Amino acid sequence: MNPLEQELTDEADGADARLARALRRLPEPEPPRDGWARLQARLGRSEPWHGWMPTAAVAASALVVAVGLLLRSGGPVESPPGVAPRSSAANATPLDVDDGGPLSGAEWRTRSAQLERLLADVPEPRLTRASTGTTAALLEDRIATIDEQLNDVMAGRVPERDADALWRQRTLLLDSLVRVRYAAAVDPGT
Amino acid sequence: MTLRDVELPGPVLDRARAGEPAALEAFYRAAARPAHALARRIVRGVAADDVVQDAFLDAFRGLRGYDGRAPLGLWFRSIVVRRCLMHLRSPWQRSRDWIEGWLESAEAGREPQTGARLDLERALATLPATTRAVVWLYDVEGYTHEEIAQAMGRTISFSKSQLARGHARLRERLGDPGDAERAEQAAEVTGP
Repeated sequence: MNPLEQELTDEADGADARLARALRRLPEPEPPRDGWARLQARLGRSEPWHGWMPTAAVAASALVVAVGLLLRSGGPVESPPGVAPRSSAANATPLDVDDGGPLSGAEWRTRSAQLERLLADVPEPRLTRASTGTTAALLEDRIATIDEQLNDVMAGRVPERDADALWRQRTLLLDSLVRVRYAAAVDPGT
Repeated sequence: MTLRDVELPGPVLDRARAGEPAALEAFYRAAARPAHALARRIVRGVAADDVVQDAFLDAFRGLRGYDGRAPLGLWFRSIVVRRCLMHLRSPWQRSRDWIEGWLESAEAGREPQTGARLDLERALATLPATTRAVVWLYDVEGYTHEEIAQAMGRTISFSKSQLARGHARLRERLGDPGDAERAEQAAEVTGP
């Protein structure tokens, strides 16, 4: 190694060391206040090892639907990690909400109403993983945004021709929400 | 304080092995903060809280088999790291992380910044998950490349290349040159 190369290497090593020191000095994030209470609740019930796998698969398919919807509704071009092709069995939806064939706006509204009833029947889990709760909350927020847009359609602020697409998006997101809620209800460890 | 420093008095450890709730809580209180600090650097958002919960459950179940040859904190750290890496490998979790990240950035009206200068915390968060894990385990937790390779089921070369890539990206995102030094000074100001 010539002197210049050695100097450059030393400089890079020094920068790496400074970076490492800076990382070690980052402030520690606070643990959640209810951490022990949640752990106690989980200790209080017997959790089967790997018992989450079937329900996680159900929940994963819900995300595939939601991600697919987002991609079609103007999301990023790149596919999310771990998302199977849409033709796989994992993507099959119990209500066949997205199985091809154009549906009318009225049909999307009917399916949306069916899903609303189904969602109301999903029992509230005693415990929910924080991250699952976040996913459900994000889906709910997205649905609420679409509801606002549908209100704009009714008020004449948005063209009527956009209504069918909004009802379709709402139905698919609702389907994802039902799956996530169902997975959490069947196995709160999901 | 890091997980390396976590210890329990012998009698408390014995009671924790027997599953006594007060002793398990003592273990939790001693290790929760550094465990969260570690998990949140590797795993995105609130999922880190779940990972830590899972790690504690693993540890409580495994305490009977803990022989004390390694310090308690190091033993538990290996459980936390294993849980974090399991999370990163899970397609279900990766999908969920992706959708949450996308929704969050959509709500903010933009994709995550990549070109602008960021502070160290945010720059770290923009690294790909595996790269971030390697950087954190090597630079902060003191893992060797051999240990990282073993934990991740990858080669030593993979660990080295991920570290180099991670450092380069951090420097690029912090600004260049003298970036690390500025980051260090900033951390000193905002540090604990």
